[in-house]
Amino acid sequence: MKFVDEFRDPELGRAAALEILSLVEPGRHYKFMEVCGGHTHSIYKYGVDDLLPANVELVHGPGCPVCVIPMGRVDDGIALAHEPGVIFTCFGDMLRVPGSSGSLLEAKAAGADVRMVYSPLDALRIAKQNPDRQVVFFAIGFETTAPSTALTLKRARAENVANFSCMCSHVTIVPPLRALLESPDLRLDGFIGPGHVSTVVGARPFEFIPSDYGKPVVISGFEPLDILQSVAMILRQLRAGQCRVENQYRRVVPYEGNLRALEVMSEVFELRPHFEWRGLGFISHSGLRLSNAYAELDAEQRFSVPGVRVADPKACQCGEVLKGVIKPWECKVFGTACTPERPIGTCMVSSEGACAAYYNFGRFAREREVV
Amino acid sequence: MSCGSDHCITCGDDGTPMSIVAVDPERGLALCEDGEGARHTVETALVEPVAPGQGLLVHAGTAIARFDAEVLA
Amino acid sequence: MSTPSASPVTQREERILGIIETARGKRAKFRDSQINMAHGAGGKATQTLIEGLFVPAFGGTALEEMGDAGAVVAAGTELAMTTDSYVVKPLRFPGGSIGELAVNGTVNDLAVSGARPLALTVSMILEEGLDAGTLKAEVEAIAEATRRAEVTIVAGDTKVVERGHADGMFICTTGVGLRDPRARLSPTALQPGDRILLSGSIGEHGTAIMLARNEFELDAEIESDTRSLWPAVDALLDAAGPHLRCLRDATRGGVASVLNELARSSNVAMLVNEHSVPVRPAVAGAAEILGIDPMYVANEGKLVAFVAPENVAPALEALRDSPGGEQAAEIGEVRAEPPGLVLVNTSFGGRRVMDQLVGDPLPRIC
Repeated sequence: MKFVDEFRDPELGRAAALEILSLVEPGRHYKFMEVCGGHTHSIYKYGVDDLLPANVELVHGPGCPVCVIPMGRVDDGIALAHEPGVIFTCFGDMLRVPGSSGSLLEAKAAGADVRMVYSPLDALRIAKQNPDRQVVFFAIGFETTAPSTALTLKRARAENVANFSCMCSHVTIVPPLRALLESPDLRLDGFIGPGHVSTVVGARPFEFIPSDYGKPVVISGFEPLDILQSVAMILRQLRAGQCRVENQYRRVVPYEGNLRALEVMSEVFELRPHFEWRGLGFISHSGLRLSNAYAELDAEQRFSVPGVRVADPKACQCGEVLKGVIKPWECKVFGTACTPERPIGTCMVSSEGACAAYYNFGRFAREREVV
Repeated sequence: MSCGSDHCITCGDDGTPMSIVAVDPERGLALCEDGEGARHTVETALVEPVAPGQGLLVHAGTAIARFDAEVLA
Repeated sequence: MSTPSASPVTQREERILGIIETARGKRAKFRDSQINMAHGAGGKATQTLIEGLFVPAFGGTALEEMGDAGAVVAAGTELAMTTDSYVVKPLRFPGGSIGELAVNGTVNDLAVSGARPLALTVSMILEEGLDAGTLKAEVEAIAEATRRAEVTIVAGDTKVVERGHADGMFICTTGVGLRDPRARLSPTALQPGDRILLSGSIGEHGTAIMLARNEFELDAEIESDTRSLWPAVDALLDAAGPHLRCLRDATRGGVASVLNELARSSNVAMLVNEHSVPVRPAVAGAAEILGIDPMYVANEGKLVAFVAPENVAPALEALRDSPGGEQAAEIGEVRAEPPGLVLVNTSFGGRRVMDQLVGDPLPRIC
């Protein structure tokens, strides 16, 4: 497949792995954060970390928009899903994320009409097909997904789909990164920047990372070779004593981003004063809500949403795991109170989260280190 | 979605490279095909103007970027 | 490896890993407050339901074995018995329909447990308002599938429920087969060094159903692979009889679930080579868009065979010569370490763990 096959070629992969090996200083431990959940998935799917030297460690960042949705927000969604006449639509992964008493999947089992969609447009289509029902779309995701929601809302208004509304939980990528970087105990040497968010926001918003915090950033594509190349680019910066934003994913990421997408977003959304992140707490200007111009499509205004606030369990140390301060197994609740079947924090919620991965594959990872 | 298979393509910020088969300018949509023949209707408002044959990066049913055929990275 | 200063941490990690292993090794407990779709998806939740609720309550050695069919000995004759319900939506899909599936699915559960399928019972739950033409078409599909699989229907039952209480029709079939004397199959028989064979390309049934539901604006030419697996099993037993350790049809949860289940029950590891797993390009393309791994997608006419290394070649040849088996391939081997885990050599050259399916937002497919 064009634009894909050449980035999955095992020969090129081996060559990139050898280059990385030549760039690392023996005896130094490198910790890079891949910000985006999509990268985490590629790394898992292709076994990319298996191709890296043992002293290059990838830390999974906060870029899984599903797992960072706080419990209270899930509870609000479930309450909406139980409103009479409502069809509640959301992306598949959101179904399993636990709130304080159960998930949307369990709400569905209890009688709520919860449906999985792949795109906000699918939700709009369901609304058109069911004019006598209220269809709510639970919008989650970073700037990659927000334009799609924005376009759908514009379309809903243009086509007068009165029974459609949106519960907006979109988030932005820069504030949580800044929050992580502000932490004095952060142990990261560089960032693999989020490629698809960057197709929308461009590379410029990440310039504060080298300029204010002295860490290199390489915006990366999602194929396994992209990730290896990005790791090599960060290592080259470190070797040369440089630190800047580089764009490995030039084939789709323009430095300025997608101006039209940004325009649509700013028309439809506005920043919330603050938004809560599971495991990271409240972060200023990190969430989006519908702007006044789109208030009539805002599910939180159309229905009475309880606005539940559920504190993260005190014992959960997801924040420290994300910052690379502790390993999953050093968390007080890991493997006892917090398991993949009954997750507490974001790192255990997602099957690709650092804690879930360690729980399931820890033995394998240890075996690798020994070999 | 599940991904293993409990991996959700939308929330994982995945993008699928697809090429345009046909354009419906009236509705701002395009019929796109991935390299293996699977077809999908895609919203194109953010990447217009578009033409058949062009490569798009598709996320959640919306094209968010055009592939630059000149750049091989 | 260990230094004195690092030892307290290492001990703690060791202890945590121990806790995890104990938790994973324990029989699952069913603690959910209600049934949700994941309980029917063939992954971890299904396993919890079976191991945590059904087996302890019903007992019996046949159930404990957790095979696809249970053994019954009647007057010295070894029989195998199995039952399955079909609730697929839509009723007809490219490559098959609920009726055909109801016959083949049950026939296949018998076949992979090493039994020649003999007879079926068919029980139908029909929804008030079901179109008679639809019913006739499914009855014909059932009849045709039984002819092809060379089984007879010996009893049946019909119930009608009120509108809205079934999606058109549900079918439940129960099958009886005669244990084949050539077969010595058991889910606990796998040994390090055994090879893993797959009878053809994977992911077609599940993907065809997802596309047929038209919920995603996605379109590809993919047909369900539903077919009787007895001819393939028959040929395998001829070619490798006593060297066949175990057979499984890779239905719900796909090949990945079969491998994980058997890695656990035989306490072995598996190593799969991703590039040798046959996947048709159309399936790979649709799976890429939907964000799913074909290894987890349901098949209705593919089996996984575990064969001792000395008989791999004839077994593979037998599979390739059986109907629908042209693409049969050796996809990996059984290893000793780490027990209970399935590892994959990815086509990109890395290695990773292929875990059990945890949840399943996929629509009903069988």
